Amino acid sequence: MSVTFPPLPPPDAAALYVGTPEGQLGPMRLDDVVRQHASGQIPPDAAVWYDGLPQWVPFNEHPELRSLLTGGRNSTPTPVAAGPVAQPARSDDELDRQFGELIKGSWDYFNANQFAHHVDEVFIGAVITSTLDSGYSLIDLTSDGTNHYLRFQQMEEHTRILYQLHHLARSPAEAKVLGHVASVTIGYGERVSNLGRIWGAVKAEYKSGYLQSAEPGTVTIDADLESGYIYAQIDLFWNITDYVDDHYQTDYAKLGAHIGASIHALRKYLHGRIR
Amino acid sequence: MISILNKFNNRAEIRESKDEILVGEIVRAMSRQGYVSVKFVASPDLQRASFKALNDPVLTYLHITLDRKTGGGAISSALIGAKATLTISAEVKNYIADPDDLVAMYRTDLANIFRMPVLGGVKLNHELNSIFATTTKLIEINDYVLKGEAGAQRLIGMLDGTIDDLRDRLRAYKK
Repeated sequence: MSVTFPPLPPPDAAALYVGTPEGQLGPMRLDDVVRQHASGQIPPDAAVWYDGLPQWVPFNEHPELRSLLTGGRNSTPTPVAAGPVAQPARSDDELDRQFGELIKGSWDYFNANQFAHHVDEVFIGAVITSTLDSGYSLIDLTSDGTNHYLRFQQMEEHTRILYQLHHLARSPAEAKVLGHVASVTIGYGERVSNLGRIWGAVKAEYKSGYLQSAEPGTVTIDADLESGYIYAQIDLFWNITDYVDDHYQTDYAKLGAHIGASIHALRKYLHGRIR
Repeated sequence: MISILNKFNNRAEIRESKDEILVGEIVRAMSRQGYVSVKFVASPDLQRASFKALNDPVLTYLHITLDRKTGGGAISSALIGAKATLTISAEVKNYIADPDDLVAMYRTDLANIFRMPVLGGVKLNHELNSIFATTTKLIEINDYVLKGEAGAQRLIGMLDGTIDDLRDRLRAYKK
């Protein structure tokens, strides 16, 4: 059976009497009682009386005072029918349905996070598909999950295409600020039999070693003496979601057009340098 | 800039790149069938790609692992071709939210720690929310690479047939 007590006096009114094993204190202000209880000067098993109470009441049996003394935390919670918060009775099905909604909401968040992690691999797959459709074969693939390196060769013409892709936003929070931006290096290479030209390209590669990060539009030259290929390459920033939507669908027409335009520019530059 | 050429194996012979050529063809074949790549693990010894099944009524993910066995050198390539094992694993993911189902899953998970049944070359495994069906094939890489559209169609046929088989094995487990 619940007991109703009259409201506590105002905090600045010296109207409370406190009973302890050592004797009676008061009249005291409510804020002094709270402070002295917190400091241990008044023991937790003390009792209180003020005008309107029919008898002394232990601190922990007076709900309003107990709430003040514990900063709103109930030291001895009021018993409730089920769970930490009193709830109207609900059926098993209703509880399962609500739990199911919590799980579904968590999956929505999980899937958004997965998309942020997967979108660069979706894009890499689209680059592979698009480049193969233009007549090239993948001959090298290296990936550590964040940095992806691809190399393709056109088997009849012996031309090669390189890609390096580094996804800059791998969490939903980063993607909200940056978008799913990736640093992309695209290279176009041709086999050159003239050793002098390759050596010249190697010297250019040495100079490009001083560039920490090429500005957009800067074409650098790189050479591979072992295979006899010289490459023109360019650094770009691409927003992956310009090509891959959040349903994992790729706009192959746009991707193919952008790759084609980049390769065309690099081919022209390379021919201008070595032919 | 650090040369990205250092990130590649500068192979002199295309036969050394045949597993990568096949991986490229697998990615394109899967893309044509509605499976988009979501993960790549690539090392000189082993290539693994995972794909998300966008419109499949049963499957959630497919995982394909290529492990080259022969044909890295000129002599073995000429004598026995370029053999590789292709492991294809299909995954059904059940988004379980019913406490009664969670209890049932826990019991079968526990049972599967000690038992992994093999059914006609397809291995079934059950881990938390996922059920896997896995099969391994020994293939000749040369049947599928550098053969133009004919090779691509042959690869699609082989992958489709295998995925259909795995899907049938898993259909009963899709909730």
